[in-house]
Amino acid sequence: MSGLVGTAGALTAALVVAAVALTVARMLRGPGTADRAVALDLLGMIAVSGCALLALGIGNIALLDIGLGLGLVGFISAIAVAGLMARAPQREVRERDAERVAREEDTPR
Amino acid sequence: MTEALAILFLLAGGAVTLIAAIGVARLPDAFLRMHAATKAGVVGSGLILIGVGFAFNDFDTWLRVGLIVAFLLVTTPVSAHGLGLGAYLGGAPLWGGTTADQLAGVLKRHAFDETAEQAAQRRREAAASDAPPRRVLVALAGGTGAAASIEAGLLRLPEGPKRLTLFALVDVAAFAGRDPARLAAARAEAAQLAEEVGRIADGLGLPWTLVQGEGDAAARWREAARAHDIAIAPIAGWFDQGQAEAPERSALRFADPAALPLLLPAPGAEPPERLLVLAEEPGAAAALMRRFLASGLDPGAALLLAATGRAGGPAALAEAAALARAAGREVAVLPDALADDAAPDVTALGAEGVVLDGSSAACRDAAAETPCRRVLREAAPSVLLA
Repeated sequence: MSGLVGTAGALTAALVVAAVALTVARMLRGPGTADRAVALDLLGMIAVSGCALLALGIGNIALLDIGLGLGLVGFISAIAVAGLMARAPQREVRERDAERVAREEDTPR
Repeated sequence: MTEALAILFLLAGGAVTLIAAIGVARLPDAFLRMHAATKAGVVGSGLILIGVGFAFNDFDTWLRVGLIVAFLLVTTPVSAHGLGLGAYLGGAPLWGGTTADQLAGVLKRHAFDETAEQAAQRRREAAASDAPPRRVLVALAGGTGAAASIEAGLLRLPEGPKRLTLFALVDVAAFAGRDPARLAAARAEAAQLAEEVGRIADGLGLPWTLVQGEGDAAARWREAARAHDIAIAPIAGWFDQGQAEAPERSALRFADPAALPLLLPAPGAEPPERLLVLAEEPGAAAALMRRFLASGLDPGAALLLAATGRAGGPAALAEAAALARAAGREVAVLPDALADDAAPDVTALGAEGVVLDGSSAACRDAAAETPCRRVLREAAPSVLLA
């Protein structure tokens, strides 16, 4: 492995780290479940390329197998979260919470 | 050579991945973010993997790289579709600049996940504001002269928030086998009428949207009527802008799918002070009165109740009169039964408009010689089909 490829790998890793930072920012900021789920999906894909870069860095292609596993987990988690979102949200729970908030606002402290 | 390719693919993959992340961070709604994450994301990862493949460039690596890339290419569209569907059903808000939501009315959306505080705020606002705005469907039919008729109808709408849909159609079928110049004239008239009515609505401070189209006017009118609370149509006009049909048939065509209160106002009339409410079927008077009161139209008008002989005469009107009185309306009952087969002389009875039962057989049966059909055919003073 020549030094040039290693340098390119390090540069790519820097780009990927920047991408992770942006994606995590979106995941923390939301504002909704859907936005977080999308960020999680992208994070899974970035993790696969991260594994590939790590394999390149330490020169062990066994890490690519881990990448394959991560891709599978990312896919299944994206589908699971999508299914959760598609199901009826717990509106009743939120309504109940809203009533609680309204009660607390009415009660003088 | 393979090293150069490895460097190229690695850097390109890193750049595309970063672009995907920028898209996820910066795009305005969940659907656009999903599009950036899944499309650019899979390309970025794939390029990096291929770069790694070139860096090692042996069978074991290429096998794994090929497997992972193929797997990503197969699963990403599925997860993208799933996430988009989940976000839509979950009620994720659409960006304000979205021009078309083709799933609106096809899929049922839940409320967007909101915090308890936001839910409480929404309930407060819902409690503070009145009922949802009345959706008023306005038929831009009958040509330029129809604007006065539509304006008379708009003045009779109830108080409270309202939203107008100006419905401009050209009934192309009505022009089959006619001079094409007439169709062109109808199009020009429809456009002019839309402009005129838009100005009138602006003057009255009513928010409006314009829907334009051509085709099977009767079917499209029926379809639009389902999504509205009140309809207004000029009493003598159809979607041919007076270019194809005899005007006396027009009111009948609007009336046929009377699934909602249909107001057919006379041109330029003031809001009526006295309305004739005519029951033509036995036992239907109370239901007619209930629908009329619910429509909220002509809140200031006094009511004159009348029944034909077939409906049982004035005796059948007691419940309807009681309902109207309970709603705070001024009511009188006409002591004599009206004829079963002639249009009532509304003006002679001192009224300025007539309320008919649009759901009754007397109004729906095209062959019937009932007061309702006669009133519609003669395009007499303002008509309200409740």
